[in-house]
Amino acid sequence: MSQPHAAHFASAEEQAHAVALGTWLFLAGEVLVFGALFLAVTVAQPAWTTLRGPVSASGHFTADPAGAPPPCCSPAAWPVALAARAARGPRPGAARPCGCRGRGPSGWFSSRSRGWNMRARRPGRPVARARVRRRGLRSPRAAQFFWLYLVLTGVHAVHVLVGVALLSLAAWAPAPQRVEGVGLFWHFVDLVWIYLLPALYLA
Amino acid sequence: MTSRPSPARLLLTWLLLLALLAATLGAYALELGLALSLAIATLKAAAILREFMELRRAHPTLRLVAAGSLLFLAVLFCLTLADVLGRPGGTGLSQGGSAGAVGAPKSKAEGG
Repeated sequence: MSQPHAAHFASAEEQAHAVALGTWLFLAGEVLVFGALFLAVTVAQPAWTTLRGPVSASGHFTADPAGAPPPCCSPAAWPVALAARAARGPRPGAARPCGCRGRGPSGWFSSRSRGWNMRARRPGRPVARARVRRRGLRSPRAAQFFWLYLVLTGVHAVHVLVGVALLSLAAWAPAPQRVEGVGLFWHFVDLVWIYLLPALYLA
Repeated sequence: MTSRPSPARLLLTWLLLLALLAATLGAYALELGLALSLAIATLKAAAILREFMELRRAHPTLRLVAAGSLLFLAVLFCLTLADVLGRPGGTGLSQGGSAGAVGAPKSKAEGG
């Protein structure tokens, strides 16, 4: 039952605990990073509802098929949780199923980049420009919304990219604690999305 | 630490998350308000923290760290909102109505 562990740990269990604690402390810092951004959304959001009129700023996305929000990156959550579970089992190789992450990240990115693209191209598209002017989306309030939208989804996107890279690493060379730490990180990225969806798209 | 959640339990949690996602979209379609969406989001977060991140059976130290991060988040929100909500006049945090009505034309003037 004695599993291999690094020399400076008394046991594999102690090592696993240290990895989990380190990961959780890292995530605690991440909570504050995203917390500050969500705080900005909370303070500014009521002003955005003034954009609501016929179509709110967030409704501008949801009304447009190209900007429709991806529902979640949760499809990947279950395989990751299973992999973390398997990594603790007798056969670390069984952690490989975390390689099949579902279509979560890729689908999310294609959808996201379409959303960004739509706004990046807007000034160049006469029809869209007229629509934007009509909806009053040129106001500083709207600029604030789009700025926070870009930063929040952008920072989250970086986390998704890093998460995908880490998951790939864990699938390629599955060590129990690696799978578990990466799994925790991935679930955190999922947690952020869970709040991001109502805050930016459904508000 | 060594006890592991059963795959069935993880699957059930995942199905619960998908059901709650459907509830979120349903609430949005029926225009039941942002508060309900956020409440559902919190339910989802609790399920993930409890089952997927395994806080349910985690070592007390890990649970303390997780709770501590939420505590500091609460401090961040409470102190900031205490300031913003406590400002006299235009807080920008009124329920869309008054601030909303003057918001659009005023911002137009500010923008020019």
